[in-house]
Amino acid sequence: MKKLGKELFTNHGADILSYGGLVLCVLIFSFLSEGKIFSAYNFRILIQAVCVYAILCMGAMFVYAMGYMDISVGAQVGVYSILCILIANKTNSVWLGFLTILGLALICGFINGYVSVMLGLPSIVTSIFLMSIFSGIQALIMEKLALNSVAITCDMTQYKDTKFMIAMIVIVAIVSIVLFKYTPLGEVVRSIGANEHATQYSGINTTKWKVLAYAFFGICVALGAFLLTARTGAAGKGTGNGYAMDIMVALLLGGMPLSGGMRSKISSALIGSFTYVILSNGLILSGVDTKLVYIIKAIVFIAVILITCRKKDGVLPR
Amino acid sequence: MANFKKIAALGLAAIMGLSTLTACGKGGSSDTTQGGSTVETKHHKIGVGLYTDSGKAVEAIKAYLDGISKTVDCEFSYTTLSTYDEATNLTEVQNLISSGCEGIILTADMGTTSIIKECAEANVYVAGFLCDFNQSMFTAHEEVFENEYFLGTVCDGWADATPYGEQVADEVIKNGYKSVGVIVFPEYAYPNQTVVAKAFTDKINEYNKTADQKITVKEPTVLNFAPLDATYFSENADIDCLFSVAAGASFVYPQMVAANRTDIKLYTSGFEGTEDVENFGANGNGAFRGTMCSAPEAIAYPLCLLIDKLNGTVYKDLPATERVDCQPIIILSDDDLNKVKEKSLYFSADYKDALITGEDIVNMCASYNADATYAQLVEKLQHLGVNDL
Repeated sequence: MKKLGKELFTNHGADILSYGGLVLCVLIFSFLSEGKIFSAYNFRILIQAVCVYAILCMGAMFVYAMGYMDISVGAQVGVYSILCILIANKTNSVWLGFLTILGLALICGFINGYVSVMLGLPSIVTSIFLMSIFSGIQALIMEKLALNSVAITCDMTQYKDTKFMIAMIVIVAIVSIVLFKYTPLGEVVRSIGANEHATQYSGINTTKWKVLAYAFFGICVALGAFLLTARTGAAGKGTGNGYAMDIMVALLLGGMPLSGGMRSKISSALIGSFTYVILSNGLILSGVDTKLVYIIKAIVFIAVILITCRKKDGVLPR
Repeated sequence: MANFKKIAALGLAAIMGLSTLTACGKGGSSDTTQGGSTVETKHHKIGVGLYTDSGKAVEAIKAYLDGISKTVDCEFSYTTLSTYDEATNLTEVQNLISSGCEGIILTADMGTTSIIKECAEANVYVAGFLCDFNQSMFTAHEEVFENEYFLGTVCDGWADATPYGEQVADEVIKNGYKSVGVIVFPEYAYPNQTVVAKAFTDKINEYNKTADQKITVKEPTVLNFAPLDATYFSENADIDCLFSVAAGASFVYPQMVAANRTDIKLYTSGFEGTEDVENFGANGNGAFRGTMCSAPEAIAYPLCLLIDKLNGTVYKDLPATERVDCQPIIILSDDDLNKVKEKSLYFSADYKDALITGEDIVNMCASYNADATYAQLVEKLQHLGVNDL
């Protein structure tokens, strides 16, 4: 029995901890918030808050599974939201706004995936480059508009409806799981994360799959930006700020290995997003002082890292 | 098994730790004494979204609300807003609503349209404090100011702070400075700062018309929410005074120290209560010569409006939703500073120094005092300056 338990924990330790963390969060905050966490209103706002994170995280899984990271996502979300609003306001078509940012996101995915290989640069370098470019564009647009924030004039109510947002999470989750588990794309990105050189030596064109992984991430970024715009109805100089770090934290809370590889799972994105949002929501509902919220989040983060990522030999898990 | 024990221990520790950090709510009504008679007050939970999570102003606001909480029978829940991200603010407000807040006081105008929409759907009222809601005023007036769930706002001092610009100009003339630099935040974000800078420049230009020794005023430098560029002092080596309408203590003074130019006299706005006190007038290096901030007690305005609305009563003379001024605390001399240090709630964060007490607030609410008027409430805000300490 003891051996079985040990085996179970060795093989599924990260899963047990990530699911356990989510359940623990729900239990603790349902007790401390006197059940407010389960109210219909709170459920709606949790879905609204989770939706963007979950979609971005599921896209990011394909990048993180390769052992890479993208820090340009926040700046991209900011610019896409602003552009979506400006185009929709000008043309009175929300869809035209979405298709434009989708096109842009795919181009950026191509730059991230292909150019870094062509120039022999680590993907983090191209993402830094993109982050700088997008941050600059965001600031320039807002200065040109002489506004702190620009609001959408088209009606986007239907896109911030809870049912629509749940449907979006489910659709993206299904597509992501299929791509990640049942197509060569998922297999190759995990394989790159486990050992890129070995993957190349086995005759796989890694460049092609990297570009495809970044392209899927781009689609998720565009969709995330669109849903964020629907939710807030406005965008400005600071829109998207902090998303790169939030995604990283959410993935780690979901049990994603820092170095990517074969143990990467789409469930990490979903579990991590829910845990991250419930943690923030629950602390406020429980009446915890705002100053302490940051400290508690940091402690939880460190605890998760220590439990899920630290190994006896000091090497990150693959 | 050992791992399970560790996790269980962690879980229990988390529950115990958080339990000690949480506050218990209460409901119903209670009595408070007002002018010898007893007034039955109704309990409300009010959310307060502050523009930052630390600093002298935040400490004072929290101390003030803690001090009046029992008397006005309100429980306050705090959150930190962003001054540049709509999504953050919407999420924070949603969390406050979810935690049971019936009214919300906002100190930042970012994402206000969607916030008001959300609050209207949840039947939660909103009022402003330390914020002129300029953007909403001019780009979303109908959605915000004409929405019945937005009750109005009290500005951070004056909505048009022209008088401060003129007072600083008078000080510059009186002290005989010869070359003055002017620093503002971008006009799109803080249009009033440009107006203040213009009022300052106009007054100096007026003086120059008849003066023997003219004062040079530099073109305003725009700070993009980042510290002043290090090259500013080499490019403007001749300046002996700076008027940073933009927060000078945080964005300009450290650069003055780094450039070894603390000989320049600095007039600014905002009050950190740290280096700006240590180096004001006759103290320290004497670089700080003037500043302006708002009294935490001005929160009485949104609070009274929210309490009345939640109690279902309004002032007989309540006008359409508006933004009102409050008398700012203007510190232009050592005497002013000493007064603020010794007597103001802003500096001491001690409720006993409050210029508006909990009893005053109850007395100013139409729902607790049938004779209370909106005019009296607005008038009270005009007595929060240095001379009122």
